[in-house]
Amino acid sequence: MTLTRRSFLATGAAASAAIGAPMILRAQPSEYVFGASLPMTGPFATAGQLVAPTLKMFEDLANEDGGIGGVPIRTTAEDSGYIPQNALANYQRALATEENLVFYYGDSTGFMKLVAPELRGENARLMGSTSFASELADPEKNPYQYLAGPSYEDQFDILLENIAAEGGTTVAFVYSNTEFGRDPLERGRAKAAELGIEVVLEESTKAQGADIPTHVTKLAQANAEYCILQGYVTGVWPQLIGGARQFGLPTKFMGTFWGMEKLIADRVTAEAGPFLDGYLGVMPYRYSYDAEPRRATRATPNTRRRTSRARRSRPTCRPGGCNRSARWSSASPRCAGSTKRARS
Amino acid sequence: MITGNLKASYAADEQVFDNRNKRAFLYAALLGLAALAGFADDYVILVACQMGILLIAVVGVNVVTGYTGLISLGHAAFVAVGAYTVTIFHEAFAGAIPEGLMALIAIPVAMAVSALVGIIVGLPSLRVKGLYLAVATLSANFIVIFLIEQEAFAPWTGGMVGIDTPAPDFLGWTLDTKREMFVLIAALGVLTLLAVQNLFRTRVGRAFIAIRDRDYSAEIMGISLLRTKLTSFAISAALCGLSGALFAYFYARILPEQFELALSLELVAAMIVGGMGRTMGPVFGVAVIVMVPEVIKSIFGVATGGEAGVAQLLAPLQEIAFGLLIVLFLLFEPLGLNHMADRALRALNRWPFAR
Repeated sequence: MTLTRRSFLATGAAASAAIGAPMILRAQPSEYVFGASLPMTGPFATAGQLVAPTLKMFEDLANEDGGIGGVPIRTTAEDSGYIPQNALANYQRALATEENLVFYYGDSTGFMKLVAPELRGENARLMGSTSFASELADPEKNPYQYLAGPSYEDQFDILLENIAAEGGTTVAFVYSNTEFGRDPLERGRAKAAELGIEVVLEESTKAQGADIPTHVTKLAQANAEYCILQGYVTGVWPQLIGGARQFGLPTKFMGTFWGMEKLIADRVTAEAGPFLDGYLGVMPYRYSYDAEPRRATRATPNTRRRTSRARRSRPTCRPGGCNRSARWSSASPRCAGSTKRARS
Repeated sequence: MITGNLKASYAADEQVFDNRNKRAFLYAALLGLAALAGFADDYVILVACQMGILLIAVVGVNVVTGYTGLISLGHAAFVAVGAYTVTIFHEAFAGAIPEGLMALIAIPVAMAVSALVGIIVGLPSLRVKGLYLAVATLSANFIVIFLIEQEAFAPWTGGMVGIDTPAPDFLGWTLDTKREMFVLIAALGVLTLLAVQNLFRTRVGRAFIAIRDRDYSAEIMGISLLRTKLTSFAISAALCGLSGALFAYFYARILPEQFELALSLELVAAMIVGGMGRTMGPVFGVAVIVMVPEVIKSIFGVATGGEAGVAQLLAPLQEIAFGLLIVLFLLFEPLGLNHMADRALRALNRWPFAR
C-alpha cells in the first residue's frame, strides 16, 4: 500500500481514536472510590471503630443524592493500628487495586507527613484525615491534603479567648504524651500570655491507662480555674474529670474536637452520672440532635483565614469535610469559631 | 543429589557458596531482586523496602542474640540512633559537605554512632545475663526515646512531632523515589547478609558462638568476654544503625513513636520465627512479620469487598490470626522457618533415598 496524504490522515485518526478511547473511558468511571485507613486496633482503636460505620453512612447519603455528578461512590477502609507505615502501605495497596480511587482518608498526622511527598503526578489523590494538626494546614506545602475545620491551635485560641471573656486568669494544659497531644501547646502558651492568662500547669499523661489520681492531685495543687484537655479520644479525659469532681475540684474543663464526641459523653454519663456537666469544647460540626438553623460564623481572624483558605480550594465534591461531617449525618460543617456545650 | 562438597583446594574450602545449589540460589535471588526493581508496582516495592529495612535490623539482633546469646529488647533504640544521626548529620553539614558525598559519609557515621551507643548499652552484659540483660537493654530503648522526645533537643530531633528526613544523593544520583531506594536497600541488605555469613567464619564470629554456648568455657579457652561481648553489641548496633539510616532515607519523616518497644519486639519476634543463629533466619522471619499481615489484609479485603463496616469487625480478627500463626509456628517449629526450609531442601537433595 502506498502512503498517500489521505491514507496517512485516516490511519492517524484511527490510531488516535484507538489510543484516546481508553482516556475518554477513564474520564467517566463507573464509580468513585473513597479509601480510608482507620486505627481500628491499637491505642486509638475506639476512634477508628467509631468512624468506620460512618463511611457507609456517607456512602449511602452521597449515593442517595446521585453520587458525584451522577457517578456513584464507594467507600473502603482498612486497619492501620495507628502505625503510620501501615497506613502508608494501605494507601499504596488501595492505589494499586482501586482504579478509581479519588480520595483517601488518613488516620494520623504521622501518616499525612509520610505520604505527602508521594502525592505527585499520577499518584496524587485528594486527602483528608483525622488530624487537625496545625502543620497540615499549609496549602503551599500540602496542596492535596485538606483540613476541614479549625486546627488544634485555632481550637486552643478559641478556648483561651472564651476563658478570657469569662474573666478567667489561670489555666492548666493536660495533654496526652503524643504528637496529637502536644500539637497546640506552644501556640497555647503564647496565646495565654497574650490574653493575660497564666498557664499554671502543663501535665503530660499517657494516651490510655493514665495514672488518674496523680494527675488530679497535681491539678489540685496547681489550683487552676480552667483546664484544657488535648490529645484524647475515648479514654483518660472522662476519668480525669470524674476524678477531679470526686476530689471536689471546681476547675472548669474544656476540650478540643476529639474530646467532644457525644457518644462517649453519653456513655460516660449513663455509666457514672452527670459529672460532665459544664464541660465545654470546640466542635466545628453539627451534632445529630442539632436542629437549630445554621448560624453565621463568629470567626477569629485566624480561623477566618483558615476557613476562607479551605473554601477557596474546596472542590465540588467537598471531600475534605464529607467524611467527618457524615459522622453527624449532616453535610454542613458548622461555624468554625463557635464553642458549644456537649449535652450530656 | 548432592551427598557432600568436594574441597580439593584451600580456595574451595574458603568458599561461602560451596555447592552448585547454593550458587544457583544466590543468582536466582539476585535475579529476583532485579526483576522486582524493574517490574513490581509501587505497593510491592513499598512492602519490599519495608522488609529490607527490617531485615538489616533483624540481622543485627541475630548477631547479638542468635549468635552471641545475649538477649536484647532494646535494639529499636539503635535503629532510632541511626535514623536521627543521618537526619541531624545532613542538617548540620549542609553546605560544608557536597550533596553528592553526604550520604556516603552520613551512613558510616550513623553506623559508628549506633555502635558507640551499642557498646554503652552492652556494658551491663558483662555483669548480667538472660532475663536481667533483657530488662537492662529494655531500659536503653526507653532512655533513647525519652531523650529524643525532650524539648531541649527538639531543634535537632524535632521532639515529639518528629522531623522531616533528607533524600540521599549518591554522587549526583538523588534517590527520591521508592524504586530507587529499593535498589539501595536491596544492595545493602544482600551485602549485610553476606558480611554476617562471613563474620561467623572468622575468629571473632566463632568466639561469639563459643560465648553463646557456654561463656565461662569460652573464657577458659582464652576469649576475652569483655572485648567479645562488646564487639558483638557494637556490630549488632551498627547494623541496626544502618537499618535506621535507610529508614530515615526511605520515609519522608521520622517520629519517635516509630522506634518504641513495639519495634524492638518485632525485631526479636522476626528473629525467633525465622530461626535464631542462622543466616537466612532473619530473611524468613521478616517475610512472615511484614508480609503475612499484608497478605491477611488483602485476603480479608477481597473476601469482604473492603467495606468499612465489615473491616471494623475484622480488624481485630486479623491481629488474632497473625498472633495465632506465630504461636503455631513456635509450637510446631521452635527452631524457626529456616529449619523447615532446611528439612525441605535436605529431602529434595536426597530424594528418593530419604525424606
